[in-house]
Amino acid sequence: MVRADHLNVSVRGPLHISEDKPNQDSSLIRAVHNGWLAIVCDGMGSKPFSQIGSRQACRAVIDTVKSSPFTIDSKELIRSVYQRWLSYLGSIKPNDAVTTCLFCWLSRDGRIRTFQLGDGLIIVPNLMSKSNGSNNFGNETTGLGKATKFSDWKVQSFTLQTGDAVALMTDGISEDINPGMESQFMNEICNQINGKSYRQAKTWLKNELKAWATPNHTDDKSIALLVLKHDK
Amino acid sequence: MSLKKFTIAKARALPVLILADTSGSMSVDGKISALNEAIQNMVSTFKQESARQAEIQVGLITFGGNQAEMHLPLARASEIEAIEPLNAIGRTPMGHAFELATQVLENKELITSRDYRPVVILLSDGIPTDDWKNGLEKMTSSERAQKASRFAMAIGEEANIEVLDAFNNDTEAKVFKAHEARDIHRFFRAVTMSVTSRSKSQTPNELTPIDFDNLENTDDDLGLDLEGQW
Repeated sequence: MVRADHLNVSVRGPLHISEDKPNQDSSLIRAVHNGWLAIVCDGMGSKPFSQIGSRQACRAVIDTVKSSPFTIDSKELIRSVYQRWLSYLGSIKPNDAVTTCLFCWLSRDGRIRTFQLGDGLIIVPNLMSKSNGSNNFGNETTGLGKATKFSDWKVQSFTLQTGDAVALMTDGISEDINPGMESQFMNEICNQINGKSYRQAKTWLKNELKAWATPNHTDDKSIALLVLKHDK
Repeated sequence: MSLKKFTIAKARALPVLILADTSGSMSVDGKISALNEAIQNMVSTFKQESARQAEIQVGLITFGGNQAEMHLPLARASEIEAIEPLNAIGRTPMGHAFELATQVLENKELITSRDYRPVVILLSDGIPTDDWKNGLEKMTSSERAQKASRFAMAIGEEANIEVLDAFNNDTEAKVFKAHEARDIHRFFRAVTMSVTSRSKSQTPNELTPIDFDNLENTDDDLGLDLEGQW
């Protein structure tokens, strides 16, 4: 049995601040009956209801996972998430609420399953998941409301060791990390928040994201972090 | 300690690649001088833009004589000091220009995956003298180059509209036809406005529509042709 420290932060990007628009990202971490769940979703900026799309995607993932065994078939899980998301949108057209959807499901015995649709990044030990293939240009992405195939998702599963961390982030962060430094980026966050209270850690990370160094950065930024610890 | 050391210290780019016909026929009726001035004006405007979302880059490929040339390698507009004036001479190796442009667009170090979808502008007053279909095929079948937004301008009555139509992939805007030297300026102003609008947009990959048929409606041009007509 393991336990997990967790942290998730989402900040509005400079563009949405200047235009007085809401954060179109959504992120959360929840303890569920069979482990932990971390989610980040990035509503597509050009869509009128992307904020609702990303929020309902988080809700759809939680509700699906809550009612599923950890061993559920990936395709079945994704189909269920997608169907829930569509129903939660109500009268909103899916194409008006397109959102990326990245989540990881950590079991209480250290097994982890990750799912990614669209831009962003999931960093795990010795493994990196980056959706933006080298033939793409910036902000070319897919998401719920756009992709309809299981093969559009990147699905992985493996086992974490005590002390290992996993981080999920929207492309507002991942696109601006120097290639090859993704794991160091995550480790630095782990080092910096180690020993801090939850509130202190959250404040520190929020300030880091607000003071983002890349010139002309504009995107909303969201990150969710899980670190495995010894169970007490 | 902060996370700054892990982040890229460079803004995302919005590349603009111009493919300019510099064949001999461009030397008459003030076309080449109008083109030189229009390109300079475009770059000047880009330099003045305090890009909020994307940093505009400009590259210039010329095709005149025996082969196309990279007249101005892709560079930040803000750092372009001056552009060597274009000279019009020789044949029209447009196909080779397509190949050079494809090489630039496919260069992942020059245009990274975090940069925005490039804009490619083709302007020509004549008929290609090389295998343009093969060159264009390379561009439209390559993974990245085919994604660029492509505009075309036909200069004068001799321009081969079929070629320019085949190049143009903007369903909102047909090939722009320049009948006079000042039309070149109008075309460049419209493209400049579209690009700068994109660079500030929340969604820089999405093209700002250009209605070439109604440029007069938004154009502040007094119609005073100081450069001659043809």
